Amino acid sequence: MNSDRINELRLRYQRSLAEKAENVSKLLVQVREQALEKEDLQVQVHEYLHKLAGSSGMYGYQDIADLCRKTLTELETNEFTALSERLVQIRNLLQQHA
Amino acid sequence: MVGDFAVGKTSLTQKFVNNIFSEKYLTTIGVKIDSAMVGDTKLIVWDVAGRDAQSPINTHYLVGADGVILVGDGTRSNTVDALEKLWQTTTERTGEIPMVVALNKHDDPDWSISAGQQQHLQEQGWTVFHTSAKNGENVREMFEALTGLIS
Amino acid sequence: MGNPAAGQKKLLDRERFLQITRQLYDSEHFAYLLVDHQWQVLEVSDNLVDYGFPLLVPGLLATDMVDFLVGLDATEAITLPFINSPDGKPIRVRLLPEAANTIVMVSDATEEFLGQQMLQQKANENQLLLETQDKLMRELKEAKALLEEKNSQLEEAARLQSSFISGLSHEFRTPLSSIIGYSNLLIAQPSLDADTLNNNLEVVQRSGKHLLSLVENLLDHGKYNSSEITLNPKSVNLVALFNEIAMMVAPLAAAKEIEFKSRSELDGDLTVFLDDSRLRQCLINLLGNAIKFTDIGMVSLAASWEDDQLTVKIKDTGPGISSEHLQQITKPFWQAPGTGKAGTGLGLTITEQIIELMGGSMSIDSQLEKGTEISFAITASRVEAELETNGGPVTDIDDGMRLLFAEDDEDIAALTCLLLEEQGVAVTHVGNGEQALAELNSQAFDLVLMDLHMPVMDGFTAAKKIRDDGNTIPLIIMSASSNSADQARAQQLGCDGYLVKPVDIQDLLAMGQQFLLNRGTEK
Repeated sequence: MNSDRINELRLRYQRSLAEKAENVSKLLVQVREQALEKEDLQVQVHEYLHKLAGSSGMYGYQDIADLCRKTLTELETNEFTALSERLVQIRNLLQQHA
Repeated sequence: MVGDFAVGKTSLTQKFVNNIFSEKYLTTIGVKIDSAMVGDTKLIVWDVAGRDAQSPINTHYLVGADGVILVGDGTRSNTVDALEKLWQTTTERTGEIPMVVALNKHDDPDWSISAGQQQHLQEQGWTVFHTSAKNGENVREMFEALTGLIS
Repeated sequence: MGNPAAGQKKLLDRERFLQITRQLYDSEHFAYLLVDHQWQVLEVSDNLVDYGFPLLVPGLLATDMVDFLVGLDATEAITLPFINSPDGKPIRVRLLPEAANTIVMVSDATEEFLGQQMLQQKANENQLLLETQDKLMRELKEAKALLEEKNSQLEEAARLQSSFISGLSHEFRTPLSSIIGYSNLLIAQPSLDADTLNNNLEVVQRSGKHLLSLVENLLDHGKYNSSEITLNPKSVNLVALFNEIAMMVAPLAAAKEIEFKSRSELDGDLTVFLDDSRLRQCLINLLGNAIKFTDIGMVSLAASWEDDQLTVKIKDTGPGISSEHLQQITKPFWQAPGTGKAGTGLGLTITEQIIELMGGSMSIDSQLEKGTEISFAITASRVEAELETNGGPVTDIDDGMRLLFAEDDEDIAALTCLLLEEQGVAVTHVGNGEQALAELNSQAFDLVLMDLHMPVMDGFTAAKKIRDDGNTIPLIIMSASSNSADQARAQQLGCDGYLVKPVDIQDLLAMGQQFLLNRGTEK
């Protein structure tokens, strides 16, 4: 009986992936347009990826979780050069699984 | 008596000749002549002013000497290191004459002759006395030894 | 003075010049002594006695009467600027040799003497002061260097101690958490298939034995220091012992993806009389080290028996040991610098001591970048005997845990709640820290599980408030960040655990039950 509910949750999460890809795209546009020195954008990206890392891992999307975590580590060490590229990769993975 | 200033040349001489000792430092100017008997031999002691940075030994005072006591201060190792050069200066004037070394102030707790220094002195073939003008240690022995070398 | 006068002799009458010279001579109280070149007195000025000279009459030898003339050469012109006269006055003496005789000129030097005496006294005293100062400075520097040396020795001791403690806790944590984790798995899932059950039990047993060997090392170190150690030999089947060792260490090697080879040339029924637990301790120490330091390649164990002697060789393809470190390696608490490998630094020390106690000796052969070979041989007598084995029961822990779960992400919250409820946990879910505090005040919980990043009030703030209120409820932080600063912060705030998402529900339950168990025993 629980397994039904678990499946239901999994399905729900999978359906949300397209929307999540869309959100990452929006962040990507902002990152490209705005100077990254803007701290609130950094915080915004960090928060979103942090949540995504947690939930995607929980639902078995290990590749998304790993990539998010890698990006988070880079952000935490002020390494921004690969950020756009990382966001593209994350978005692509999300779309792939959606 | 040849050595750097304040090593105790006058004190050693006074202890030997008059058996007196004074803690007070009084620099010798020129030379002080004293004499004492060692057995049948009359020893005339030329207590020569110490060498210092400004004035070298006046070698006129060394003329005619039959023997030399090179005096170093056992609490000031630089005065011991200086002995070799002093001996060279002395012999240039007097030729090779009998000599003994006194390392004075042996009673002083600041005594700081290293084993290396001691060995270096002995390697020169020198007879070294650890003396104390204050308590008389080795003073008479040293003068007698030099007298023995001379006669 | 004579020269300028001589230059003007046309103007100055010679008689007059001599008269002036005579006047000067008198006013300076010049005295003289005229001797032949053998120091026989020829003539003496009347005033020589004024300088304390004895009465010198012609015909006497001057050197018999005046000490300072002894040894002087009457034919050599010299000046003795400051010399004491026979009665102690400072005088100046000049020897002026002529063709057949020598004039000894004597004059008073008191004034100059006093002036020079004062200057020289000051200069020498200053110089002595400077020397004393230098000496004191040197002594001060030496004392300082000595203190610094002592200090660095103390620091080294403190460093060894703290690295020992951190190594120790690290070494203990791994087997302990695996025991707790797997035993909880066994409790939580009673209907496991036989293979899984066996596997889990073996992990527990292996970790337990590993812990035991660590504890033994520690205790033994204390014992060796007070020479209390004893051997308890009994009949041991060597093949079984080596098989058991191989089974224990193989997973350690597998976990590091290095090869482990065990080659035994022992007869299957070879039973000898020795202290098997000590031998096991040595083997685990040596193999554990070899595996710990080898990142690529292989660790091998070889055992052979000949002439009542057991020879063991353990080889690895690790980084090797420099000859300089080889001297230190068996010292207590010593650990190779810069390897980043944790440990107690006691393993080799104790192993060597045990082997010596068993009448053997350990040798280490190592080359940097080539690997290390440690071998030892011990003597024992062969017997006919059998081995025994044992096992132990597993105790039950209550469940029905009440858990407060703060998490703003609906996806995570829903799934976590579901999985926890499946395990019989009663979960109350809230969306932020503030709500969590409110729930804690209104009902009783056994455990709090807290996300870090939440709106309104984040996990750290909530955790701090909970602890500030004096609430000691077990609190586990759950975050997608494996950031060490966050983990340190959590520990500092008094959180009991930190789990990185995605969280394994079994890990979470194991952790929670451990805390509950601890609290139960505390009560």
